[in-house]
This record gives sequence, structure tokens and C-alpha cells, in this order.
Amino acid sequence: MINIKWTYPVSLAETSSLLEKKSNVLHGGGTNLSGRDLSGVEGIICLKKLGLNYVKKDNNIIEIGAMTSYAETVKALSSISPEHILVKALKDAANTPCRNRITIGGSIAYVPKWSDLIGALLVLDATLVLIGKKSGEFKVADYLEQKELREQTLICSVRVKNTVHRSAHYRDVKTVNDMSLFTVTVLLELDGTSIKTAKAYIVGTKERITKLSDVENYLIGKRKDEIDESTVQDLVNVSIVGSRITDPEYMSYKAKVETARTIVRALEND
Amino acid sequence: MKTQFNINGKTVKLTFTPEEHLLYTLRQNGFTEVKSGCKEGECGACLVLLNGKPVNSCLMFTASVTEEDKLLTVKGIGDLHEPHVIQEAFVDSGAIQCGFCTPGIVLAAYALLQENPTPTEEEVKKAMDGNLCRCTGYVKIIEAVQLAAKRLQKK
Repeated sequence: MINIKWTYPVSLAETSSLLEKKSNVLHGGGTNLSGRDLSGVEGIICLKKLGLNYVKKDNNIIEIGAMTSYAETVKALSSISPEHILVKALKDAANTPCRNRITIGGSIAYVPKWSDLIGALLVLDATLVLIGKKSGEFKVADYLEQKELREQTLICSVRVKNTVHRSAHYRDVKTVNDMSLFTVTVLLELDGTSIKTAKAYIVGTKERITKLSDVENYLIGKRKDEIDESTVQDLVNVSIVGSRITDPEYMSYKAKVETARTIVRALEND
Repeated sequence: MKTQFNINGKTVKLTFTPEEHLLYTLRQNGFTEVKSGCKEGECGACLVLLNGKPVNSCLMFTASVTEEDKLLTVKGIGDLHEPHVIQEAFVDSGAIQCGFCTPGIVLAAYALLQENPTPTEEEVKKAMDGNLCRCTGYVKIIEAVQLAAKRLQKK
């Protein structure tokens, strides 16, 4: 039997002090942690009593508490901004019971191989509010890159823009209720009929996350009728690892095709 | 660890280990209507309602359930002697074959109809996206949920 001690802090200060012990791990919805090898874990810090379960809008910023589940996020955001890229990205992630448990904070902290969330946060240039060894507001991109931001810290909330830009999200799955093998997320800001800014990411590549800079640069200044899908495909140079039953070469080609299609879909949205 | 749980409206004291999953705890304590399927959140056989929301008990640590939470298993909505309208609709529609997935599917339907009493076929499918059935092909299940919705409307 593993001798793990569960704690249920009721304040961020208490959580912060519990995080000082390296062998303590955080528990949000638990879907990542429950399948993991817990040897070496001495304590599990359950976050459910911290009140980090909320979605609020302040001017043009939406703040989502780290303990908010995917389902709660979709429900709350749908009433604030139904076309928000986070709604599109999370509404079909995994399946209903999982969406009721997977939390926003946990999904970022554990950075699972599959993720419908990360691409959406990156195109939005989202920030995180952290406490613990590092405190303050940090970009999601930096959090994913810098190990020191992830160690002994707690994500309290995520801040994203309440954007009305054109967007689309593609999730590649074997069956609709499956975890995505890779995702393509696109956010386009228009200036009249031309693209002013473009953000595009694929999550699930060999490098895990790939920013499609060449595609972004190609799109800027173009109108919808000027975009050549085969050129977009040529600019997507990613390797998708694949799984036991998928061929990496085919999946990498599929990523090219689906990126072009996702861009077209984003421009079709009104 | 020892905690007081609210299961099917009754207070129950259960003992469990820190790394134990809710599925195991429930089954070890007689709630065998909660079925053990894939154990990785794919099939929904172990589905229970936590504060009215469907969750996979195989993916939940028992210790993450606290005294304030309300758990509901399929026996909490009705049983053989006093079946719920949804359970009757499943029987009347022939939506059951081996029956292994049925407790989870009935609970998913119950949660859906609590929130949305008149779901479309698409909404039923979406609500059932965490439940696998290897026998029926889902057609009868969707019909059963729609029949239950109609009957509940008349009540």
C-alpha cells in the first residue's frame, strides 16, 4: 500500500506552503493523475476547496479559474461569447463524463500528449496566474517552455481575450469521443476583407507543439479568395508521431490538408 | 482513510486507501451496479453522477469525493421493484441486450433529461458520447431516451 497523505487546503497561502514539499502533487479533476504511477508521491493536494471554479469577464478579458471543468467552461463561455475559440476547442474534447472532470488548470499543468486546450490558449496568447515558487502572471507559451515555471507552482487562473476574431479548431480522432491525436487551431484577425494577423498551431506533433509561422506569414495581407490551399499545405512541415494503428507519414500529410481546411473554415465563420 | 459519503441520498461511512479509485470503493461496498469496464474513461460502464453530473468513477480517486458531494448510482433513481421512467423506457424500447453498459447509459440519460427535458436526437447522442454499447448499435438506446423524455413530459 502506498502511504499518500491527502490535504484539502482552503486558501492559496496554505496551498503555496504545501507546494514547498517537492513530493506533493496537485489534484484538480484527477484524470491525468489517476492513471499515473504514484510511487514517490508523498502527498496529494486536492484543490477543490479553493474556490477556483469560475468564469468571469472583465472588460475584454475572460478569466477562467483553474478548477473550472471543460464542460463548465463551455457552458459559461457560450453565454458570454458563443463563437469564442475556446468553446469550439473544448465542446467536443474527449467525452461528456471526462469533460465534467478535466479542469483547465490540470490540462495545462500536466500538458497531456493530446490536448484540445493548448492550441486555443496559444493562438489567444493567453496568460496564467501562478502562485508558489514563481508567482505572477506569465504567458502560457513561457509556462510550457520553462520548467521552473511549472515546478512547485499552482495555476490559479487563465486569462484570455474575449476575441471576436475568425477562428476554427480541428481535432483528429479515430472516433468522435476519443482523445485527439493532433489538433489544428487557427485565429485570424481581419482588417476589412484582408487578414491582419494570423495565429496557427498544431498540437500533437513530434515536438508536441508547433507554431505554424510560415503559414501565419503567408496569410497576412491576403483576402479569402487569394489563399491557395496547396500553398498552405506546402508550408506545413510537421511530423505527427501517430499511434499503434496510424501511419506517421499519412498523419503528417493529413495535418497539412486539415490545416488548409481549418483556415478556410475560420474564414467561413461569421 | 475513512469518510462519510452521500450515496443515493443515504449517508454511508466507507474506508479506502489513499490511491483507491471510486469505482473500486463502490463495488467493494456493495454498489455492484457500478460496472467495471475499460478503467480508462472510455466506455462509461462505471459512470455515476457526482452532484448531478456524469463522471467516470474509474478515473476518480475516492479521496477526491468529500462529505458535501452527492453521489448517485443507477439504483438511486429506481430499481427492479420501483423502476424510474427512464428504466421502463429502456425495457419497453428493447434498448438492453447484455445489460452491462445499461447502468451508465441510464444515468447519462437521467442527467441529460434533468438539464434538458426535450433533447433532440443530436443532443441525446452528444450526452451519450461517453458510453459505449457493444450490443445494441445505439438506435434503440436513443429511442428509449426520447420515449422517456415524452413520458416525463406527460407526468
